[in-house]
Amino acid sequence: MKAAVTATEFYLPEGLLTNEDLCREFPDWTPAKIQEKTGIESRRVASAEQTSLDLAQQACRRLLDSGVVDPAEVDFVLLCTQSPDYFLPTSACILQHRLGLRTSCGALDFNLGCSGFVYGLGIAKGLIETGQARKIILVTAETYSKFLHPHDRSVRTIFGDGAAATLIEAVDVNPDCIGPFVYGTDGSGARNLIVPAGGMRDRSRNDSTAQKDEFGNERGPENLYMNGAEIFSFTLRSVPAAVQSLLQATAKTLDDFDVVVFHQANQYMLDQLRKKLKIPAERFYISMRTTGNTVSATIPIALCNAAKDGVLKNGATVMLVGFGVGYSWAATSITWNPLGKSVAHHDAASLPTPKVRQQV
Amino acid sequence: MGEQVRMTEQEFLRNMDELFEVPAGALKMPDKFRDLDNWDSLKLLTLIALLDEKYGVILDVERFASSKTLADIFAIIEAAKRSD
Repeated sequence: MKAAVTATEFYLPEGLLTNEDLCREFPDWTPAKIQEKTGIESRRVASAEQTSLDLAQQACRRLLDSGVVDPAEVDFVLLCTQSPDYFLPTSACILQHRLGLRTSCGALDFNLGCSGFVYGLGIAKGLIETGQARKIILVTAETYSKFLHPHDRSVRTIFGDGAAATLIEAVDVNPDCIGPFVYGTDGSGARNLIVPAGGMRDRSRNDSTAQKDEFGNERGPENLYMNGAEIFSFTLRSVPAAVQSLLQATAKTLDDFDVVVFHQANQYMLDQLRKKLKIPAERFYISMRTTGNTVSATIPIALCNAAKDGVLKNGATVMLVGFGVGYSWAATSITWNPLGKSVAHHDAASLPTPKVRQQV
Repeated sequence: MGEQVRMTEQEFLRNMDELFEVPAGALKMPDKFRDLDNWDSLKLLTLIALLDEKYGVILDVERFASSKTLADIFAIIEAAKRSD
């Protein structure tokens, strides 16, 4: 019995933030400049009442409604977020109830950012291949917008809110469909991507302490701080090395991968990494123009879009690399939907005509 | 040897002219890049990409924080190349 990724769906909140909106607030940048440097045209932003748990619920609803899995068969929920509804209880427990999943279902939250989806696959594989679970929903849900200071363009241009729900199941095949994994951690980078206050180390919540940095961006201790230059340098150092380690672990070359999906951090950075690693553009899937960087949700959102676009075919060999806050990174290889399970992705025109029952 | 250093410096300055979108030859080593009109957080990312692409040097951002002039950036490249 092997674990395999068989389907993924995502949900984005309705609130739209375009480059034009941002340039009205930050007049010395143009929409074209933001697009050129980030690859992003618009992002979705959760409303004041909408939380990561709400987005998670919607994404799971889409996955369950697509018919790929009977909710009664889901026996584990893994939920990755850094913007949880509460310190306690665990979002995944509330989600079990909201989705009406059985009470014999396991559920846990884990706190990771941009590397979270790949780590989640590692946990799911462990649970399935040791016989602890058979059908797992891995949820990656994030509302970073709630951490952002309105006058900090360095992060408001990049981050968007969103959630994805991915089904990982036990399948009766021989070769591995998830893995091997390459993991990496360097906590010395913690201060370069951080929300300093709000947790137990600093419980102050006081907007009046906001300060301007050398580029005129404002933020307080309860806001997200990102040292973009440090993050970019970290990425250039760690990601190519992680990819090389994965190639060694899989005994594959880049040519053996049908699709490569990196965490969608920002397109400028991705292009730089792609050139450095010499990955052909046609196999390097980028999907962030209308979603921005949704943290741990970017990889499954990209996978879902790639499947809909026809770029990602059943049985395809896919490289996934997540990297960011922590610092934390992880890379793996998956076989996408190895048994070719059908999902409700086909458009209405291709659906078989329903048989009309004859009136008696 | 001295000739070679000057050539490398010339080439570096040409790259900086391009980066800061000024006419070729406009920038000199003592220029304070943080005072240039279009210096911002995005320009810094472009600089990091340029150094990686053209010099194979990943910018040591902490060291960079105290640099003021183009000569300081050039010194970071030279130091990184020596430690390779």
